Amino acid sequence: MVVGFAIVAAWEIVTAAGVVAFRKPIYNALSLVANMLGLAVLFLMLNAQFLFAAQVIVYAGAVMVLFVFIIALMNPESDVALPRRGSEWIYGAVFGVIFAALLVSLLFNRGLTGRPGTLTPEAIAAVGNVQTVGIALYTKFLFPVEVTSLLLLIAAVGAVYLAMRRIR
Amino acid sequence: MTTEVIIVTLIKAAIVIGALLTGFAYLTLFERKVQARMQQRPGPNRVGPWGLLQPAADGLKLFFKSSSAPSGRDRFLYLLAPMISICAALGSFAIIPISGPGPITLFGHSIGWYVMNVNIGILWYLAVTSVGVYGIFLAGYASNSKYSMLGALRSSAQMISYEMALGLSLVPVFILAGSVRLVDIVNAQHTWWFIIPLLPAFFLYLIAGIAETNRAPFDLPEAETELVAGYHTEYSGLRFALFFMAEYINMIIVSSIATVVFLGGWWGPAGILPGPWWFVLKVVALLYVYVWLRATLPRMRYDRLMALGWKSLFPLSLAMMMVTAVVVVAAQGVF
Repeated sequence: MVVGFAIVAAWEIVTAAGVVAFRKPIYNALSLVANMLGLAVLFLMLNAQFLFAAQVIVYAGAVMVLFVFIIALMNPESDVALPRRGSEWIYGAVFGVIFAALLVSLLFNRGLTGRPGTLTPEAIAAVGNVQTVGIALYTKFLFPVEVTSLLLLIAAVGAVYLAMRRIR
Repeated sequence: MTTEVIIVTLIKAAIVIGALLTGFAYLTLFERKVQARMQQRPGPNRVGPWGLLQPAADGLKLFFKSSSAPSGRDRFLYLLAPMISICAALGSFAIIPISGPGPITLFGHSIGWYVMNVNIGILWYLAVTSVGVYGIFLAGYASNSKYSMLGALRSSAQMISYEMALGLSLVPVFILAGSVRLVDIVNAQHTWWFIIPLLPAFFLYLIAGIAETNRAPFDLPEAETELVAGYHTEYSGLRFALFFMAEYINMIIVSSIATVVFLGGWWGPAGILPGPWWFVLKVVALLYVYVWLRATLPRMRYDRLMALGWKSLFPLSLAMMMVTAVVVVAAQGVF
């Protein structure tokens, strides 16, 4: 298990670096896809099978396909003049340090307690993984789920409105 | 997870891959023969008795063909694309149970007729196929050719659109079976196959499945009269064969899932034949429908295809889902 985690973690770091390191936009996007697939595997190793499937279907399979679509069609390489090589390192370093400090402070203050909750692997296996997520979403978290769905509906209607206005 | 389990799973995977590749080879012959009969001609009959060795001859021919590739291609993605396609096609068969917990017992373990029996069940299939889109799209992009790009665009747009209807048409089955695990779904059909209460959902699934595999009458991605061959125009030899394999294996998988989910999987009338035979018979019957449609229906226009997917199939499968849910809840209230 530890070996498996080490391999996936290394994969995650390499692909995450690929997202910013490649000079060809399509490779950046594909690195992100690879990164998301690795994340899905991490979910799988944590016994979260449903999250694995949802992560692959929604992020790797739907959201990123659209990104790759747009990059392949627009060919941003020819439109966007990339800044001189090297200047981005300064911004990268500044924001990287800030973000790392945030992460470290979170880890030390809230911390991972290591105390198991009520949903132990055995309790989940008794009901079923998909079933556990479903029950949680539609009983305890019903209100947030409905509010989120309304938000997405507004976004969809807005997107259709914007697209139709341009046609007229 | 013990080493035994890993070894057994690997052996099962090898057997399934072998069976799928053989199935692919003979599906091509089956298609050519059936289509020929429908067009009043004999079909391939020279290589071996009744043309039975034709797939082997085709395979050898593809193997010895010289491979050409466009010079302006993206080398890495051009190689990667067919691999994604074939891996997605082969990987999605892992969850399909061919028979019930069978009589096979080795070293004190009873071995199931599936590669894996996971709780997420059919979600695995949806996840793997959604990654399979990349194979087709990257093939079109990496080829650096207009025909390939247009074919890839059409194909991926079609697959993404019909994936919605495909997934939603399966939800009524989950509601009735109370599980997404395929073995549970088949066991729930012991008395009544789900095609009887869910006939509309079965047709929705079948139409969406045909569009998802890019087959006639929805084979716009490779419409040869306008796009040469779509996303695999610039592929030749064995690399082309990988796309070809992926398409036919996807046909087998869509038929297998329809069999497992709607046609009662390995259950047949009163034990006339053992379970696996029923499974194979039903899959072959559905594959016949695929060939039948290809031989008889003309290709649809692309905008009509998209309209059908978004304006008919998608709302109909949503309605089907709601009706099933309401009926199931109402029935629980009565009994």
